[in-house]
Amino acid sequence: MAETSDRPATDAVDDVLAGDRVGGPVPGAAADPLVSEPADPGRPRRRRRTMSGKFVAGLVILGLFVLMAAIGPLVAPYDPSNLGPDVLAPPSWQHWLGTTGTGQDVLSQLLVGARQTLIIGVLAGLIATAISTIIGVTGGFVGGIADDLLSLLSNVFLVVPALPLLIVLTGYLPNGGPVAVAAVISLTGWAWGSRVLRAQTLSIRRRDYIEAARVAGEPGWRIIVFEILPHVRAILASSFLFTVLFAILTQVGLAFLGLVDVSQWSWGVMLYWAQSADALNAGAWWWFVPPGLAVALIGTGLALLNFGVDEFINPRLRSNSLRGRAARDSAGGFTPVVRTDPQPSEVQR
Amino acid sequence: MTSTTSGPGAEPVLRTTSLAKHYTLRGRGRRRTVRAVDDLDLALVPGTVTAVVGESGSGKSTVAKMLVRLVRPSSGRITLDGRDAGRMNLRAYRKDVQMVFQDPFASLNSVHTIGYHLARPLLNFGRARRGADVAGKVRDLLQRVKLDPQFADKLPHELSGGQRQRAAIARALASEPRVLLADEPISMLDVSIRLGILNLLGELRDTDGLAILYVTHDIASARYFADRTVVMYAGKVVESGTALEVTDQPAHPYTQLLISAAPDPQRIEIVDVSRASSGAASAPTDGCRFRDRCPFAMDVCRQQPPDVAVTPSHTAACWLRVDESQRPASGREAA
Amino acid sequence: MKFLLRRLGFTLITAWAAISINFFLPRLMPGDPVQLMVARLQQQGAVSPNAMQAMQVAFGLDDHTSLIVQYFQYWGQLFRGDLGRSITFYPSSVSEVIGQALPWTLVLVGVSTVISFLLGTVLGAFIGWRRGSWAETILPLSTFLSSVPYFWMGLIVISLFGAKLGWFPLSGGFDQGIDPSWSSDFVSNALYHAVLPAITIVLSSVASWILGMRNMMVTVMDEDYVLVAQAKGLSRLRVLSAYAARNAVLPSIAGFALSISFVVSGSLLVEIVFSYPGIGYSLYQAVNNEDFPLMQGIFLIITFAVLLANLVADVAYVLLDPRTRQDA
Repeated sequence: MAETSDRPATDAVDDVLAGDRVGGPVPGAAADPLVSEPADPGRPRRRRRTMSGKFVAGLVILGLFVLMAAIGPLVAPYDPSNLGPDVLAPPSWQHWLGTTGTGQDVLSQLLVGARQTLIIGVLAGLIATAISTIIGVTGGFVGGIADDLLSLLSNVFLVVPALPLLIVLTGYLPNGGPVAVAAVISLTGWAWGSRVLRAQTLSIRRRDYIEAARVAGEPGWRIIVFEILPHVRAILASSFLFTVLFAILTQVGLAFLGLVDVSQWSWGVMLYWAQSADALNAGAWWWFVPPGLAVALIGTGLALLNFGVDEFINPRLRSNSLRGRAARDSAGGFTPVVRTDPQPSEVQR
Repeated sequence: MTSTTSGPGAEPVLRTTSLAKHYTLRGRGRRRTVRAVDDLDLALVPGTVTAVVGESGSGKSTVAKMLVRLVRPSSGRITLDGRDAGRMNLRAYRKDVQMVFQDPFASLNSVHTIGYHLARPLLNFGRARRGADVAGKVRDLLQRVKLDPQFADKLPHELSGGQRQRAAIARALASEPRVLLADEPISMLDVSIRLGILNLLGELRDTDGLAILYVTHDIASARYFADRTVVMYAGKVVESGTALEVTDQPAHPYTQLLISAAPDPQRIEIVDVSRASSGAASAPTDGCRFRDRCPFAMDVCRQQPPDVAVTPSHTAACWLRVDESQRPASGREAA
Repeated sequence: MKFLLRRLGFTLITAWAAISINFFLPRLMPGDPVQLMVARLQQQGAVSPNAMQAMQVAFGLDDHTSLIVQYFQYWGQLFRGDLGRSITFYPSSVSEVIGQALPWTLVLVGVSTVISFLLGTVLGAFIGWRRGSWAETILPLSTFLSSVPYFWMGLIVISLFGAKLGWFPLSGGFDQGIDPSWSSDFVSNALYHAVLPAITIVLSSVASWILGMRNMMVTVMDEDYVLVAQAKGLSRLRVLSAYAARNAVLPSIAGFALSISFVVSGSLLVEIVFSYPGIGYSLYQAVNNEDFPLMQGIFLIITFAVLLANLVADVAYVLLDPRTRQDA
């Protein structure tokens, strides 16, 4: 049974994800005795490289939404639940984003709903990342039967379709608050991060600095927390962002089905009311477009941020890093000798 | 601190008896056992340096890792002051037995300061108490390895290779060990600073009476630095004796090959014999393991040669050292 | 072979886990919803004592038998294909409801997923190959698309192509006037209805395949064997397809396993938006009617389908990766 949990196919993904780039010097450079001062992971330099355009764009988008969640309820022009005289009114100066079938202000719902949506997403991301860290890093570090069982567990949770399971679960549970919803979502969202973290831990647990820490008398939990975790922080961040995105999409889906408390405004709840009032057939696009667009934008922000982290882990993914080579390629056929650095002038192109 | 309890001739502090490590490789359906270390008897004496010399794949690094209990031996015993190491509490054991790793670029965690690296073992082994005490002890440790106390606040990547290795040695000294295992401590360093590290280790041997195991592929540096030298080939000891005897009157053909590969024994430099011929990995597992590469190989070499005393302090495992009349006829068991 | 056997073992373990979750969930949850449901079932009309007994076994209302006996009874029912009675579609059994809905979902989600995977992989390979060129302008759009909730994409697609342009029907799997049969009229009508949901699923899921394949491609393009292939003077198409893409696609197929459950979850919601007569819509109706037998039955069936899809991906992997074959 131990063997069944192993999956060469997905390990290929892990190999890439867990590329040997998260810390420690390049082995080749250090092994050369002539290089007494090999290029070390110079941290300041790396940090500057991380600030790619995508990363900044993601930060800006997310910053705006966090602001919205923070002050949204304060600046909302109307009470989102207040029934108004204008029913299904298109966007106007009174109602920037129009009104719902019961005359509620869509903009106010959007502003107020941001907080609930974000809180559940971040909370679920935190819980799931905590679970995946405990299961993934511990499994990878401890090894043996315990690791086999833990990775079997995460593989099972990885393939079981999340939404139907969540539907069954929330169907049985009484409608809880945001914490309960976040907890249930994180139950189905931790497995991916756990796999990636386990692979990364496996790749560093035999490194010299880990063994040296053992020899220095460090207990296992300290090695995990203070020696391994700092070296998987990029993966940890990436896994957290991914899980937040998953959690937001999932909660919107659950709310759309009416499986959460639909009196608490969130973007998914807006879509639920829009769907049950048949906003689509009424042509009230202003009712269902804004919340979905907001979800997609927040997801884009998270994904952009994640790309920044991914490029930090694997610098080759940067799209503009080899413009010179691409330009050469399209200029006419491959040049057999390409292992020269691109000339500055070519990079500028 | 040199006293009757240290120096050549004193009681060994760490001893191995028939120590062995076998790995099972599972590749392409066929199982293969690799005998990384076989039947090793070693005694580390306070105030002396014992060199284990061999080319890559000879199992010499496995010896160091078994002695610090990072790798579990397949069989045999390790005793510390006559006590079975396998039954000792791991932390208590490592308080006495510490290790310096080969690659100072890999053995220090890039996210922690040098001070952190030194403070952890001080606290773990109860050599310092939290607070100002630790800071002072960290400073002492840095001074002992001749590093400026200011290095405590630096990160590993701000140090040169030699400085890193000094920091790594300081970490190993934090528990005030009696045995120091140095796994190729200079092979990753610039040639110009190797001697400084060896001299530092030599000082520690003399002032602290440390029993040092010096694992190396460089027999010339062993002659310079070690008191005793043990030559390993494919996991087995082929020759052992005082460092001068082994390097100046090598008795085993393999040792002779190692020395001939070093152009000038007075100079410390890289002697990469593994490149001359790759043999240790595919060496035979019975009889004399060197026989495929040995210019003097005979039929009798299919059987395990006995350890023959060349001088009272110098033995070699080679049939050439056995009188012809004493050798068994080929195909029969050795007496 | 050994690899496939291991995967089969994993599939069986996961199936067992899913079945056990299904068995224990109603027993671990606070009892009210199930009690309520059974009460409603009895109001609905004459329930045969046999059916009642089966429900009690399925939901652990039978206090007289021990848990272990119940567990084996549950397995026994499963092997007879008995998943209980649906409340929504009473007196139909859950198996009948699923049997009617499943083909719709299998065809719609199956075909769209395959199209999406192929399209995304080819596009991703091309973009990764032409790193730094105009082709990369598609990346920000893909990023946006991959974050769109599937069902919301469905709403947009309906309002655009259905309501506004009137090119395609707004909902349903076929026109009410036509009886389901294998006639060409019906099949073409059903295909016509399937276009919009399929477009929705492809649009929503293609972006993640593009991004995944592009990233793998970029990584593989720097490998020495690709460089050597270029240096040998092989045609670009051959370097792209036989050297770079073939190696880059392996993790993508492996990633299929990670994504399929996500795609299926999203597709279920798309069915709801379109009132498409598949499993997802049945699930929606089950949720609205607190029809736990149907919900749980659908959960099981979807899990089995995903596991099957994973096995197919494994076989594809073995066919493409000579290393796994060598181990056999």
